[in-house]
This record gives sequence, structure tokens and C-alpha cells, in this order.
Amino acid sequence: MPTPSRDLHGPTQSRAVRDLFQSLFVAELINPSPKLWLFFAWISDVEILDNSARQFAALEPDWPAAPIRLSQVLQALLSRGVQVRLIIREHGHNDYLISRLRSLKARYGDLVKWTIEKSFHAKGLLGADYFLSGSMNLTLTGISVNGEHLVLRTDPAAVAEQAIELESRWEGLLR
Amino acid sequence: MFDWLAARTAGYEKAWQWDLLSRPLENPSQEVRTVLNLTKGKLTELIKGDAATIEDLRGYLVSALGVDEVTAQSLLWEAPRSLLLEAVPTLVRRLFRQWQLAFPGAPDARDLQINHHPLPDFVPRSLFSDLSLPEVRVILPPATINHEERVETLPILQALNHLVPGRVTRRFAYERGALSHWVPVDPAFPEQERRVSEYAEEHEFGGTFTGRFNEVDDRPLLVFRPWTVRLSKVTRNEALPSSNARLAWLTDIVPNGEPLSVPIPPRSDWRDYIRAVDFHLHRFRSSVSVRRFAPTAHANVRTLQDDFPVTLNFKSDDDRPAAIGFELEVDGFRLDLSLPSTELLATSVLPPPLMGASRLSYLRDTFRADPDLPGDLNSFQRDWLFHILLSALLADAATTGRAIDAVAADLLDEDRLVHVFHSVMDELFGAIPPGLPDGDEVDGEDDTWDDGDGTGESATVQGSAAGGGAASHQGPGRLQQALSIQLTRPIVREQLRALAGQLCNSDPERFTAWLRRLILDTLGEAMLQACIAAAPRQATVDTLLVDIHGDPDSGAASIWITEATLGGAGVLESFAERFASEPRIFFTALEAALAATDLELVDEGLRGILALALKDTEAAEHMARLRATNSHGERATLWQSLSHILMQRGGIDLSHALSVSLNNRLLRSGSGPQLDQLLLDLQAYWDSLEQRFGLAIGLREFAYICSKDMNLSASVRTFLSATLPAAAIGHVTVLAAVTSLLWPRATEVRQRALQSYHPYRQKCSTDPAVVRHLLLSRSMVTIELTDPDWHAKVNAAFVTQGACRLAANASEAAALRQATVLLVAVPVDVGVLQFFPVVERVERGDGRITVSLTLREQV
Repeated sequence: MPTPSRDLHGPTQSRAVRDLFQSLFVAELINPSPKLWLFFAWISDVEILDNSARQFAALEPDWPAAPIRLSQVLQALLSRGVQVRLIIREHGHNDYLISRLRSLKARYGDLVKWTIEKSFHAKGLLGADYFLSGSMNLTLTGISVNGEHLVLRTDPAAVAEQAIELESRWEGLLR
Repeated sequence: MFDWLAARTAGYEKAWQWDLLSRPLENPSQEVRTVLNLTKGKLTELIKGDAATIEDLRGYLVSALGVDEVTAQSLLWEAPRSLLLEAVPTLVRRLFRQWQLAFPGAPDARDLQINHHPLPDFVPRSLFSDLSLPEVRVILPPATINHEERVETLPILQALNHLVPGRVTRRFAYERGALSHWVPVDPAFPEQERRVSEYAEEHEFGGTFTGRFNEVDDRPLLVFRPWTVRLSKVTRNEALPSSNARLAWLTDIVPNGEPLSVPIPPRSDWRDYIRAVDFHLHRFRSSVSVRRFAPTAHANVRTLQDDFPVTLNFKSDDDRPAAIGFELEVDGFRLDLSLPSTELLATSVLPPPLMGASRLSYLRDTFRADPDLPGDLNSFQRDWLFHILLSALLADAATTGRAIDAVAADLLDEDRLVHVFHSVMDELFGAIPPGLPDGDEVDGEDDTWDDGDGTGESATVQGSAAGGGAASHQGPGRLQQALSIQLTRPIVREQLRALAGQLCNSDPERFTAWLRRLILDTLGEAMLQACIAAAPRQATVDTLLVDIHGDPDSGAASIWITEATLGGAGVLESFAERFASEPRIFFTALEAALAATDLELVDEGLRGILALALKDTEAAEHMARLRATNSHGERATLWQSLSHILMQRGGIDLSHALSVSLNNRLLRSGSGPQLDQLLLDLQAYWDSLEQRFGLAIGLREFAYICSKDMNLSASVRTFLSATLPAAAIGHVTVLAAVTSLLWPRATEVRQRALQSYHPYRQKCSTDPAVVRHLLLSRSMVTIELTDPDWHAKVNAAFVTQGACRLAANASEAAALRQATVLLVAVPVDVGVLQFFPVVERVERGDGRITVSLTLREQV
């Protein structure tokens, strides 16, 4: 099995970045990773899937025919029993998503955990078989405006290394 | 404008503008008179075109409505119903001339006037109501000798539907009880002709129209628009208030002026099927003339003794075929379609379940629309006869193992047919629990009530004698009696036999024509849904109607979506704006309307859960604990872990609809492994029957088949005796038990998803799955994940078509995920360029998951 990687550059490839997020989260919804790490210094409740033609009704029949936001996707993943972990920078911008996370926590308990760090700056998304990292924040500006660079890696060794790193560095700090 | 007048005339003296602008005041107070004079002064300035006053009104509109300058200008000057060119002159005419008419017909006749409602033809009374136009005058005879003749007005559609000859109405009869009105018909003649001039005292020739839409009628008809209809009083001896009548509507639509054409996005999948989208909007000096007319009325006159079906044809004074109806100029838009040709459809192969479902709808529609059947055999009775025929034939074929044609030859033999139908009816109607009145039973009771002298009782007794011994304790209801009477007619029996013949060998040509019509009707309904979904949120969209024009010879077809009433709140105008700026929104909304609904997915979900409950011990254990627990907290925890198991082991997502069904069907009290096994057995038997007959079987037909199958009946009985108290079992038949234990299949649910209310059309069959299969998935290659070369094949499909589908069994979800991640990470070489695919759609069905991937740059 090859272990390819892929580079993306914003903002010229902002459509490709959105497509990539859509594809990765659909893969997660088809067969979820046991644990999903989202670490973005700045994060908003961005639109992840385009469900305006109910294309993904088979995955979540209750979703409306409209763009589906991050919090809705996370909820679908939590209902599938995925452990969702987030590391977020301490910044007013992130408060909205954190309030959404709180309501998810009230429902799913410790399946969802996060920590807020003062000087956190890294950006990435880690699933069971891929690792997406780079300079992009998960915000509208990050996806569509800024000149960012992103790398998707599927090499199991790199993915495992990141998993261990995140686990040992952050798992104990998450609440 | 009323507010503006109020603001500009208010001073020391005050008066209510909505009152003084709405009626001639007889003795106004000094205060009111002052305000009235000021108002007249302001209006005069407007009429004379005083620039300062008009500017003042314009400024007022901008600030009061929060609109921009351009909109305010168009409100003042532009059609329809411009303020300065239409509304103000009308108001001035009425106010200055005291609502008098130039040519009064009657001594005290007035221009349109409703108290406290100024300009009723320009301003709706409440935010969501239609403009009240005095469309038809209804003359009512004096209720008693102390009353006088009365005139009421009704909007045209309401008037035509209410005042059908033979329909008894109590709408205008508030003076006393037992007073009813109608346009009289003589029930002695089942076929009658009626001159339009006899029906409507005042009428106007509208034109010669041909019904080219929906139910096609090629005859050119003289269409008259009624203006005044005179009603008569009707006594209970002539006709009961439950006498009803309806018009057989025809439709023609003609565009006026140049359309606004919106191009189809070049990359849309719909480009192959939709050739043009043309908007006709008043805003762009264009419109559509919608003609609705009815040449025939079907009445059912009920008397104390009997029902009399009457068909009434309208004719003109010179005895030419005529119709009553009207023409409206409204906003509308047309979609020109080019559907797959009949030859292509004839060769296209539907998958067996879809074919079975289509054959069933085809047969039902054929019987519903059978022109050889008597006209008074109404659509409800036809549906019942169809249901009974199917139940009888399939049950016999299933239990005896004979082929359907052999069964049909045997059971539908002239000597046996009536008896067979009666025995099925006895069982079907006997199975309805006594506490659950159906519509007809209620009607019957009503009539018994009406009679007061017991004539109804004797009718019931007679009916039960004719029914040949009834199973139900009350004797056969009115419905069963009516069906029995229909069965005595040779033509009904003959057509039933013909239908059974079609069940075995249907005419492929007619089936293809029907299939094409099904696609067209489904698309029409889906487009209406799409309009509703894509229109801006503030628009009220329940006023849109969809009409179909299909020419089977040329293959051309068009779908018209029009506003139902004049001044329809600008829904289509705002939709046109939205559509022109982003056509994709409409097409995605169209796909959303055609996609499987959550209710449709419930059937498969429940079956998946059943299978898992018997196969997977952990799932079974969770379900057992959920059934046993009484604690809410424990239930919540168990529910969460059960949903994880269902997701991981069975690939089943618990939507809200599925959760409700799961709780009600499988986890309710009395459920257990025994129920699971029974349901699974029933489902397996159902599947095998559908496969054997190549026909979808509805829930009610299947329940009847089960009640005739010894083994299944025995297992249902065993289950009932294990769960119900002994006293209750006697009241439950196998038929009723199966009907309530099982749920309708996805096919039945799906065919009801796209139905809209249309006052001028018969209900039509729709099936989104057929459209999905024939139009939306035609071009894409499906590649199996189990294929060792899947990756190479996927790449090849990307290079040639730019899209493909990857399919896997639900149990291989993990491999499918891995493949998806791999595909979005590996570039596809197209010439010298490299592109990455995106997941655009996920579908589930028959235990499989299909992922649609697209190279955006290639499609």
C-alpha cells in the first residue's frame, strides 16, 4: 500500500482545501477513527460538508439540506462514539466554538475534551490513518483568504508518531 | 399610503382613515368631516401630480418600509397595482363619488366596498390572505318569509368549487338550521346537459380553449366565466347536505411577452435533461395566462333512500360543447425538458425491487384511470377493488403455489368472482377494530342520525343480506355495500379480469409510456419542492401550482410552475432573482427533493437492526436490557451504547425517525427475541413473495396473505398468546396483528413523499427512486472495492468521465474509509495535469455503501 502525501496552498486552492475537509470528514463518518485530534490555534464553526442536495442524508438523515458546520459534524461523530480531542488557543475568537463544545459535552460527557492554551500556535487534524498539518487555522479566513500551506500525510509511521506525541503531551491536560 | 394620509391629515381633529376610506359616511361628525376634507385635498394633490406631495409620499415609503429609492419609485409608478397610476385613482373615484357606479344595475348597487377595509382589491385584509376580489356574485333566495333575497361574493375558484351543480352547501345558510342551498340537478338522469346561461345568470365568454395540460382533452371548448350564480333552497327530501359534486378540471397555459431566460450551468448534471428555464414575470412586462376550465361536473346526489351519480356536461346556448372556468394572468416559469426517449426507456432495465414497485403503481394507475369503467365508480372505490383483487390473487397464489394467471382464471371465474371479493371484504373490513371508525362508517352513522325515522337502519339490514352474511358485528358499512353494488355490474367484473391479465403480462409499450409520465410527474413535484426550498425564507410558497405538459410523440415536455392567484405576494419574482444569481441552488434543491427522505430510510434501518439483533450477541443483549430497564438514567446510557454498536457493527445511523420507530416497533413493551424472530420471518417471507411475483406488495396486501398462510398465522397467534391477556386475543385477527406489527416498506413511503395539493389536477403517482435511477445515476461507473484492480479502474474512470462511484458492503466500511483517504491523497494524472478527487455523495441501500467521487476540473 503506498503512503502518499499531498500539499495544498491557499488561497488559490481554497476550494481544494474545503473539498479535502469534506472528504476526510465523510471518511470519518463512514467509519470513524477511535480518537480524533483537532488542534487549531484559531477555530470557528466553519462549514465542513455541503449537504444542500442532501448528498449525505445516508450518513445523517436528520441533517438539513444546507451546509453542515463543524459542530454538527462533531456531534455526528460523537454519537458514533468517537473520542474528540481539541487544543485551542486562548482567544476571544474561539469562544463561540467553545460554547458549542460545552453543549456537546453536556450531552456526550467525556467523549469530547479540550484544553485552552495561552500561547498555543500549532495547527492540525489527526485521524487514525492521516495527519493534516500546516499553517492554516480552521476559520473562514484561514480556509479562503490567507496564503497558507497544508500537508496531508498518510504514512502510518508519521501518523503514529503524531498520535503518541499528542497523547503524551496533551491527553493529561484535557478536560 | 393609508398611514401616510393619516400622518399628513392628523391635527387637532382625528379620525380613523381605515374607516373613512372604506365606505361612504352618512352623518360624519364635524371632526371626521375635517379630516375627510384634508384627505381629499392630499389625494387631489397626488392626482394632479404635485411634485412636492409625491416626493413627500416617496420619502415616507422609503423610511416606513425600509426600502431603497429604486424600490420606492417602482412602488409608486410600476405595474402591477402601482400606487399613483392605479391605487390612488381608484380610491379618489370611490371617495369623491361615494362608491357610486356609472351604470348601476340595481338601485343601491355600489362599487366594491367592504367596511373598514379600504381598497379591498389592492390590499389584502391580513398579511397572508389573498386580495379579496369580487369574483363571483351568489344570489341567495330569502331564507324565510321575513328575510329578503341576499347577494354574497366569493373568489372565483372557491365559487366554482362550491357552486357545482348537485353540491349541497350550508355555507350561506346561517339564518336557520336545516337550510341548505344548491344549484339543482335532477337525480333521475345520470347523464345530463346544462347550458351555461342556465347555470350562471351573468357570464362572459372567455375564449375557445383546449386542455393541453395534465389530463389532456383535445376538444376545443367555449369557456365562459360565471359572474352571477343563483342558488336555490334544497330540502332534505330532494338531497341530503352530504350530496357532493366536483368539476373535472382542464388546464391550458399560454405565455405572453418575451421570457427572461436563465442559462443552465454548463457543469450541471441536469443540463442533459433541462433545455431551458424561462421566467415570465409582470416585472419584466411578461406574464402567463393560466386557463382553468371544466366541461363536466360529477355529482353524487344523496337522498334518504339512495345515492344518485350524475354526470353533467356544460354546453353553450347554441348547443356546442362548453365549459365554465376562468383565465388568470399571473407570474410563472417554464422548464423545458428533454427526457430519455421512449425507446431508450423501453430498453433501460430497472433493478428488480424498483421494477416491482413500478409495476404495482402502473397497474393501480391503469385501473384508476380505466375509461371503460363506469364513471360513478370513484377513485376510492377503484383503489379498494384493486386492493381486494390483489389480496385475493396473491394470497391464493402464495398459499397454493400456483402461478398468478392460473389463480386468476380460477378465482375470477364468473361464478366465483363476487363470492371471492365478498369473503376478502368481510375479512378486511371485519378486521378494522371497532374503536377505529373509518370515514365511511362515520358517514353512515351521520345518515342514520339524519334520518331519525330508522330508514338508515333498514338500509343497513338490506345491505347485510346482500353482502352474504357479514363478519363484522354491525353488518357491512356503506363502503362495502357500495362495492358490492359495483361488483354486480358485468363491466366492472370484466375490467377486473382484464387487470388480472395485465398482472401477468403487462403491455410493454403502455408501461413505457406510463413510466415516462411517472418521471415527468415526479420531476414536476420535485421542482415544486425545490422552488419551495430554494425560495427566500420570507416568501410564502403555498400558492404555487405545478402543471405538466407532455407530448409523448415528440418527446418534448415542459413543466410550468405558476402562482395560483392574482397578486401572489411576488414569490416567483423573488425566486427568479435567486435562481438567476445562483442557478446551482435550484438544481441542488431539486436533487435534495429527490433524495431519500429520513422516513424512507427507516424501513431498511429497522430491518438491519432486526438482523443484527439475532446475529450479534452484544446487540441482542443491549436490546434485552433496554427492554427490561425502568430507569431513565440507565436507559440513556444503554441507548447511547446501543447506537454505537448499531453504527459500528451494522452501519446503521440512528436518525430521529429511526429512533422513534425503533422504540415503538422493536423496543416497546411486549417485545423480545420472539418478536424479533417473528418479524424477521415475516420480512423474509415478504421478500420472497415480492421476488417470486416480481411485484411490490403493500403492507395491507401482505397482512392479508399472512392471514391466509397457516404457518405464519400460527406463529403470529403463538406470539399473541404469549404477550396478550387471554381475554383480548379473541378480538385480534391475524390480519390486524400483522398490520400493526409490521411497518410500510420504503417503496410505499417513498411514493408518498412527493405529493402536493393541486385543486385542478387528479392525484398522480410519483417515485423519486425511478428518477434517481434513470436520470441521475446513468453516467457514473460503479466500481467494487473488492475488485483487486479497483484503484486503477477508479483512476481510469476519472480520466474518461471525471467521476465514479466506489461501492462496498456495509461490513467493509473500514476498508472503504481507508480507500477514501487514499484517494484524496493521491493525485490523478489527466494528461500532464494532476488533480485530486472529492467525495460528493454517500448513499446506502441493501446493506451497501456507495461513495461518489468527482474530479471537479474534469466534469
